Amino acid sequence: MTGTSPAIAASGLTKRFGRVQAVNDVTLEVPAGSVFGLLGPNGSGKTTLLSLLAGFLRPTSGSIELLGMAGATGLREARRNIGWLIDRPLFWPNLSCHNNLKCLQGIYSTGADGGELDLLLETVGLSGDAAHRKFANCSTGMKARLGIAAALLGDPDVLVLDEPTNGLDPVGIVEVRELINTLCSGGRRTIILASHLLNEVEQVCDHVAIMRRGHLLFSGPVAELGGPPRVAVRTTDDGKAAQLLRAAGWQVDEDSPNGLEVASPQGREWEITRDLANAGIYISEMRSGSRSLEAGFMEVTAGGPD
Amino acid sequence: MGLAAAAIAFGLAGLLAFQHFAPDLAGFATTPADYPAAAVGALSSLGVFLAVVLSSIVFGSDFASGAWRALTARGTARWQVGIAKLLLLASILLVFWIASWLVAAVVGLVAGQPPETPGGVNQANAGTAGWGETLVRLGASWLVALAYLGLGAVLTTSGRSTAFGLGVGIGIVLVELWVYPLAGFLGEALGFPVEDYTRWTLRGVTSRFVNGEDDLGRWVFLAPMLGYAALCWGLTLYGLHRRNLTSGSG
Repeated sequence: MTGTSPAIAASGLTKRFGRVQAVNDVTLEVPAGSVFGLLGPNGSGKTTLLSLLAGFLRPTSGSIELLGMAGATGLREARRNIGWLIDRPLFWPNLSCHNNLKCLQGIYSTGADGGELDLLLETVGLSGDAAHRKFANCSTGMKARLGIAAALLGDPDVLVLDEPTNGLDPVGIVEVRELINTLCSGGRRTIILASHLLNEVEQVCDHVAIMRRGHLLFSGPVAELGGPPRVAVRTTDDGKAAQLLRAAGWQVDEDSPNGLEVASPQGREWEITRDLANAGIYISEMRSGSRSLEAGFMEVTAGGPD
Repeated sequence: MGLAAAAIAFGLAGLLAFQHFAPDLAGFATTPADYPAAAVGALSSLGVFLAVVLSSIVFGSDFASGAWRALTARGTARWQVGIAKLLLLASILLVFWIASWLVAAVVGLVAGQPPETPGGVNQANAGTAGWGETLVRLGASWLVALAYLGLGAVLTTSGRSTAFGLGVGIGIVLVELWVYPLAGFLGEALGFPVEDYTRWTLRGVTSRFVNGEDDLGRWVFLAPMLGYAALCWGLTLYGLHRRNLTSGSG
């Protein structure tokens, strides 16, 4: 794999279950070293897309390239270097966390290094007594963290996590999110995080893709989804101010709950105050910042297929 | 495990050697009367069911539990996992077959001795089938079980469910056991040679291969029997290659 080639690429990927089109002509590139968020409501096709990449499902059409490799043999070879946490992970209920990982280490042929297991368990916060607790007796949060540890076996270059905080209580969500933040730091590893929780993706991801009803609606840097910097303005007469600003060439959104949202390159905010003041309209509140991921998500999904 | 295998091999070799070097001891060198029919018949009939049940459970439970996904997530080829399962099941059946044959042999020898002459041989109860013949028939019934192992596996893989493999597999075996003889009986009454058509079915081939009672002889049926086994095993591996690794039952 070269430095510029994507870690994962899919072209025209389609998966049909009978009459249901779960993934529809998805073309996607996940840049190497990025933390890539896959966003979409439940049933949008995120897990199906990841299962296609993992080889659990056979695509109806389209092609996949993993770590620069394609074809059946190439993909198998590449998958040795990708950690997957898709759906519920499979563990032996009567084995301890440590022994579960040891068994998986044997199955995946990632080496029999006991030190790696201890380090992994420590990384996911399952060292000490927790490491020797039976899987059946572990809390949901511990099971989720063990799932991440299993995906990290063999120190893979790519880590794929499908809704890792699903079913966790608030404390468990924070713990797993902190763990993902730790894994994201350094930038050596490509991480794909599928979620329907916008704040989860917003906090850790630098790239994002949005899916709805099997279609890929957006893929790119998070900043691109947020759009250009905006200024939220409240005035003595919002209606008149909107007309005036539009006439002056500004892009204005009157429907924002924050008042008027004006798209404005940074450093030009003073021109807004000048134009309004010249027309005798006075500003009562003015805040600058990017549009939130939530706003971008809502805009993108609103324009998607029904 | 190695010691057990060596003991079994030693026992088999001993029995065969005894038959070869002491053919005059008719009661000892041949099996007791009814022994082959009872032992081989029971084992080959039960074995067919056992093979279908075992393969359905072993292949189907992995779809339900998600084990197929866990096993293949890191690039292990599906056919490798599939062939490993089939070979493991075949080995388990072989150990079961050998153990059953040894137990039956010991029971047969004991049954051949009248109570008033401990250590003697009941000549009156001696059958005509040699131990070697019995061994051939048991070996044949193990090969037949391999074909049914494949049948259970291919059905389970195509339905991605234990229930589908078990239900349809056992259904096919029962149809073979009951419908073929009934059709043969009706055909005979109507003067229609049904047996000419059922001879080359899975059941027709396998039962003739085990019993060796067809006019064509036993070994004619070896190739079609192995063909059925290879077809079922091959279709299982092809099905695994093509299918989604999710449960077919939900």
